[in-house]
Amino acid sequence: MSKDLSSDKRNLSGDSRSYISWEELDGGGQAHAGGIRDYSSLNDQELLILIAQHSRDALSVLYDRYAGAVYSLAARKLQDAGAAEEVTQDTFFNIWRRASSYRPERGKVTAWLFSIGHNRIIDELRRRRRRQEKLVYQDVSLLNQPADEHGDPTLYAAREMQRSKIMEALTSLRSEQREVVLLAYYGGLTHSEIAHRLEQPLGTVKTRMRLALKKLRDVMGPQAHEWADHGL
Amino acid sequence: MDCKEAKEQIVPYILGSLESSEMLGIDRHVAACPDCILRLRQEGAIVADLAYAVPQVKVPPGVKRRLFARIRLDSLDEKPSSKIQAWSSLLADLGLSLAARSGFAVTSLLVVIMVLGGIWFNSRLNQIAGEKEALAAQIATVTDSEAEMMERWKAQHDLIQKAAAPGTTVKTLSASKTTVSASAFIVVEAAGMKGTLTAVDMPQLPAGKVYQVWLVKDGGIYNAGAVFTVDSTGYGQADIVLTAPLSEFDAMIITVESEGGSADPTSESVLKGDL
Repeated sequence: MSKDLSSDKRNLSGDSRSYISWEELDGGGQAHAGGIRDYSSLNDQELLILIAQHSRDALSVLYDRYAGAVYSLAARKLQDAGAAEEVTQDTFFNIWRRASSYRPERGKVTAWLFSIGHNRIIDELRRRRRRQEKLVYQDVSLLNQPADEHGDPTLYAAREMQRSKIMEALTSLRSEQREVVLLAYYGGLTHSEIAHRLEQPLGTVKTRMRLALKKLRDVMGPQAHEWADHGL
Repeated sequence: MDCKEAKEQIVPYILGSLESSEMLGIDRHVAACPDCILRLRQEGAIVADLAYAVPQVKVPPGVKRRLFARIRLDSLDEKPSSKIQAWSSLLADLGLSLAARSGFAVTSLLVVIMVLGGIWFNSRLNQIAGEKEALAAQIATVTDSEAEMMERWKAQHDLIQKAAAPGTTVKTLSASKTTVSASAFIVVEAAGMKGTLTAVDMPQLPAGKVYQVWLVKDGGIYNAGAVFTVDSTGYGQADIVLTAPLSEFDAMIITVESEGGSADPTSESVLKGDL
């Protein structure tokens, strides 16, 4: 198999389409050897294989797919555009360096990618909290603000549909279940801090978290996995 | 950690609510437990979707350019050190093999010359690597500035289009102190519930501070739900979404507050304007 990713020297901005040889893909040789393929048509896992081989074009496509979500999450949680930019850059830099450590059996690329971004955001939130108590989300309506309508309208519409489904799922939770999810995921509190804040035993907090996720899975169903698979 | 403990901790783990030491424990257990891997996979997919619950905003283009500049720098960092190691090893090997075959004095001299040459060579390589880094950083800065200008031009273009729409109103804010040259204007959409504030020549903010927008009505001050920072030229922009039409308020003021914003103004206004 050829390891010459010379096409990576082009299009580092990732604004236009990028092409690679089929032969460059691990396990993707199939019957197309010698032909070219649009990077953007590759799934997340294929892109990650190429990123592990230092393909900047592959990283560029993965970045275009998910940087918005990572940045939006960081901006909303940190309320600081500069810090959100740093978190986004660090997340994708980590993906660049750690792509070969991704284990598909542990979950989808999106789960891995967002866990890297989310952990980085939580580190920043906790660092700030050590210095000064900050507002944490307890009210789902705080998340329900209009989105930026710039950019690709198709992707925007798909994201909005996805967001509306997730909001619907979050709203369907019992208030005490929603509260622990919001405090943990969006507020960056540890389960012990949540127990302390809510004046509830740690076991109760864990049970609420578990029930909340079960309910979310029931409400969102297989559609959530479809989204994750196609990089929407 | 046994499987029962791990199963209890997996949900807090993927929600990011464990302490670092607890997370390591889960990592170690999951690496060797097929049941927990399956559970992690199921729960992880749902949690990944929570990232999309927040409103999606556009990433400033400079972030991608800085990321790729950092990756280029990272590649430069790795290459010179491997070259230096290779040359050092070559010189050392050569010196030792000569010493074994020739007289001590001659080979010692040769070894000294080679070591000194190696030091000079290493230092030159480091210098070149440093120059490359500086150059790459300069390129990154220039591309960032260019991206910022393009982004600003696009924002202004969008704003002009909004301002030209029927029913749109524009209100101006001026500096509260005559010593400050800052000013701002807000373009309010026809329904009066949404506007874009553009501020220019704003004083640079100390670390950990942001500008926060407030509305004044009947002597009361209300949080407009918008904070923003400014670039090196003092330019900043913020979208404001209101729960009541802007026309119902008497004035708008902007103060300097801590990151994340304050519940009430804690400093004097920098800008103010009647609505």
